[in-house]
Amino acid sequence: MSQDLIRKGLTLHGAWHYNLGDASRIMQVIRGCGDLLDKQITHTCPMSSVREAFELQLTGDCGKVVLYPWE
Amino acid sequence: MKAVRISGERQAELIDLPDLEAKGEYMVVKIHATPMCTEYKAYRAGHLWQGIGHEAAGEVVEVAQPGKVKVGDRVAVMPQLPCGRCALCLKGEYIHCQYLENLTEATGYEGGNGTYAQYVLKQDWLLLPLPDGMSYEHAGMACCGLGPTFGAMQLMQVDAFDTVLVTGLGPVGLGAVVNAVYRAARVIGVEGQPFRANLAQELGAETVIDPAEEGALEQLMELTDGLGIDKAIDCCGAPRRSACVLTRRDARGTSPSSAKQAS
Repeated sequence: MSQDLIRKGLTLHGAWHYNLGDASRIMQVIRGCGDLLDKQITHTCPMSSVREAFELQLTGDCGKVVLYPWE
Repeated sequence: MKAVRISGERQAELIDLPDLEAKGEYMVVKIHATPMCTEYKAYRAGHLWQGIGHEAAGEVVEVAQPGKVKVGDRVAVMPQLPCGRCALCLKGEYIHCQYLENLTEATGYEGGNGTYAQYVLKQDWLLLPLPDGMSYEHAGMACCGLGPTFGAMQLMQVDAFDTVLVTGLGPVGLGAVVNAVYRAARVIGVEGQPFRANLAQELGAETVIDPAEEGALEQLMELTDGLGIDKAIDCCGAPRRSACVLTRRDARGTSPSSAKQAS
């Protein structure tokens, strides 16, 4: 703790999500990053094939995987 | 409705659950896209789990009372079941709410609250309306795909003057790259998995360092003219490779050698 944090003078934040007041801003990011999100979402998959999707995640050879619950 | 249940070690199945009914501020959302998060860890370990998933985008299909959204609205579903009344909720920090609601007590529904399902119940104020033209796939990224690292960058006020280090380039860390690129910051990644290292670079990370390689910290110092990193986001959860260990830049001019000792 001393070496890694105090002596470096770091500021440490825990961030799990974002403030609800920033909701419009994250929508702005999404609108401005469409091409990047299409790359970040590397796979889409019917929910009926969820096992295959989990197995894919276990390989690490994916970015974000999106399920379609009606397929 | 159909939903996913983890039924054993590397076992998952679709099950039939009772249909949902709106109650109070809980609205029924028909889910069109469900981004997958860390549920695979429970799948791998065989933790029996019904009602999995916390990310989704869809359409409001039933309400019990007038609220912040109405039937037909396209929305992104926010996580958790915060109380909406405590000090943290009232200032927008609902993710840290200490008084989470119990869905069954609140609505009478016993099937779980997951988004690996065709419908989900959620309080109206946790449904973010989508701008026209935004796809459900993209909107779903408003949760963990972009959310945690967006929140971190809001806290750190990341901008175009910064070099941001992202340690761990999984689904959350890759979102950090997207967020940082959007803010025109310079991004250096740390990741040993080749697919993800390559993807991060496609997304705009300038360099990705393999933490298993000899001299990773020296490489980082070289890339920053000996100054080190301004701001870092740890998305890997491995203490020896964490941003805290690799970060050495500070306002007090710590010498590079102290960083080496710390690593």
